[in-house]
Amino acid sequence: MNNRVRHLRATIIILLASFGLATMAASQEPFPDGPGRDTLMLVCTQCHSLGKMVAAELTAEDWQFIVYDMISRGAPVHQQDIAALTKYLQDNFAIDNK
Amino acid sequence: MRSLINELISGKISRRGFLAGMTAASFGTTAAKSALAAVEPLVPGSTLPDSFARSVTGTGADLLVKQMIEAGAEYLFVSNGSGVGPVCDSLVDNPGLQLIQATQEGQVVSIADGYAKASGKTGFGMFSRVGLPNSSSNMYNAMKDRTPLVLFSDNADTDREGTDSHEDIDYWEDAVAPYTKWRWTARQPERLAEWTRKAYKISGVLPGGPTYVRVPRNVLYTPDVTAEIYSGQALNISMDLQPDPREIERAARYMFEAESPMLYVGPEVTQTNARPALVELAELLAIPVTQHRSFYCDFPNMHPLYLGELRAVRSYLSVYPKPIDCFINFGARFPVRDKSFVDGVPVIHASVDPMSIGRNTALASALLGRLDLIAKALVEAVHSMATPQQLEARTSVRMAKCAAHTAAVQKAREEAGRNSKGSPVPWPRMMYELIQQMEKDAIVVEELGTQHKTLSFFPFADGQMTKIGRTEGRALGWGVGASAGVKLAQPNRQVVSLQGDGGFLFGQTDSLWTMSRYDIPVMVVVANNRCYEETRWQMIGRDGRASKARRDYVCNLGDPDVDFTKLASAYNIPGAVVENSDELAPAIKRGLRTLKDGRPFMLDVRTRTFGAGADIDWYPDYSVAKQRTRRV
Repeated sequence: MNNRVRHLRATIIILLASFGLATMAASQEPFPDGPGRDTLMLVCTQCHSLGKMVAAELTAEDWQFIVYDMISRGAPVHQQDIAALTKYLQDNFAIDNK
Repeated sequence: MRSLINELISGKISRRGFLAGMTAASFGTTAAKSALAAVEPLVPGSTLPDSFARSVTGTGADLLVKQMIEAGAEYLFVSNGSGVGPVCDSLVDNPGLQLIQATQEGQVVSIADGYAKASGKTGFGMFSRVGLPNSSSNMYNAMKDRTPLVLFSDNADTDREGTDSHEDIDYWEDAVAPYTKWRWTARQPERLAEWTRKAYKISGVLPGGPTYVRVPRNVLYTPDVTAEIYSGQALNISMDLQPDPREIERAARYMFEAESPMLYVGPEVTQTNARPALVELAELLAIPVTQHRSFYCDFPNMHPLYLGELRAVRSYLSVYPKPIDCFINFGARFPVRDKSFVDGVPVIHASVDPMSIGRNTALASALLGRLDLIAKALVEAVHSMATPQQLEARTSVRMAKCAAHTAAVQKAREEAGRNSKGSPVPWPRMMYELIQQMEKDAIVVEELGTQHKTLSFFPFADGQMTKIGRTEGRALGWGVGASAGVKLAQPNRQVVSLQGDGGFLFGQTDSLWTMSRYDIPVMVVVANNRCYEETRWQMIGRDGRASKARRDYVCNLGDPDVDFTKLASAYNIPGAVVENSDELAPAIKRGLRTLKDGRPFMLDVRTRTFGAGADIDWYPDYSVAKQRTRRV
């Protein structure tokens, strides 16, 4: 776990509470722990909820495409977090990995 | 003395500089002034005219055209209509005014709008009396952007107007009241130049916007009208609006003492040439910058302090976890979409628009004036509050953390663009390949769904690339015409127009005619994902009845599957279709080479869509042919 992820973990509850997202955090039970989860919770929820996103039937290749697409649209992911975020989504939600 | 005179005549020094130089050279004040008086007639652009006005006799249209030229018009953007006839007659004797024709009134306005945005001058358009409804969509866009446009059309003759007869209806002007700063019907030929001046004046003064004048055709044709034409100097109203020094002091104190300030920038920054001063202010206090939706990029988007759109701020706050305690709006309209950023936070609003400032948000400080002057005054005020060492101590941590964050985000975007590949083409790869080949000072005219599609990739800054679009109004059908206007304003800079297929199909094929007719070398890139993606996300994403029934009623564009290069071909514009990311680089190279040769180019890139509704292949399959009972 890199420093930023540790820091994210420490600050995420404060931030979510500050911005009224605590309810959203509490509803993210389907998201198991693992590298990439904190980036998902911090960055992706800034623009949309996660429920429908992970319910979509997407392949591992689709998830790679989507991560790149979202980053290009302005999702502020750090370069060093791309691989973990992508793998987290692929491992947990890709239909060809289930 | 001789060298001073040479410098004065060649415009290298001002009158004041000349007098100072003479004094320094031991000439007395009287002698210096005498020398200046002797040489002043030779100073370029410095001699005052004998009179700001001259008397001109001609048709009503002659007065209009001559006053336009005096107001600085280079181009006359028109579409066909018999009411344009008297102006065409006038052009015979005024060849310095270049006519550019569009085939539809809406595109007249978008071309004039692009020209105005890229030149900083007022654009002039004229169209048929009945073309007003066609023009109004882009007139609305111009009003939302505060773009200075003067728009004219003819009107029914004075002996027939108001009778609901041929091409006449009551209250024409009322139709565009919300989209114009001022509108008028000019019925007295001897006052046409006066109304033209007024239209220019009102349109150009900050904040700008469209003005609209109707002129009965017989008034335009009226011969032997004599009127005063005023020089452009008479219309050049100084707008150096200085901010209130007490408010500057107060605002600077808020900004200086804040532990987590945030700068929110909007289009007035670019409209008042405030970017350099604002960069200095942001760097001085290490204030992170977020961009309001804007048709310009109002802060260098590759700058270490540039975060992107407001929603990207939360990620920055994970590396600099201090709640925002001072929110500074520079030239954007409030309210911000997410009010949590401003609720309970001291808010400073700097604007040139007294109607906008403080309109929707309670303010700790209101700074009314030109934004470049405000930014410079704030810089001076901050310098007066602390030594450089004290400033460094207050800002160095924030600057370092923000810079590290933005650098990591920029690297992520570059990786996303470089590594995306396949067929259909991922649009980030399209952007990545474009930037590899485009000129370093190219202009990108954008009418895509979200502004980050361009802001993530192209380095927009003074001396680098320039972003123009998408409009604040967001009424589609603007970008292709606007890019033609941009190229007319900046003929020596490369212009690339980025369009979606949906946006292009909002009547923009018309502008290809203008591009081809006048050899306007613009590369139009259509990101063709065969759908209206953004609206589909919103409609299907709401999970309503159509979504549950898996029905996409209005967002599918795949049938017919439009080949945009064939549309371009009809206008004698070459093009290329790109199906796979591997085909991008050679196609872009061919397109940019075509621009060098002086012709426009169409690049139809078949891009990939995803997200809510992307898997729905249902659309209303209705065939009128199958409803027939007679095969006719």
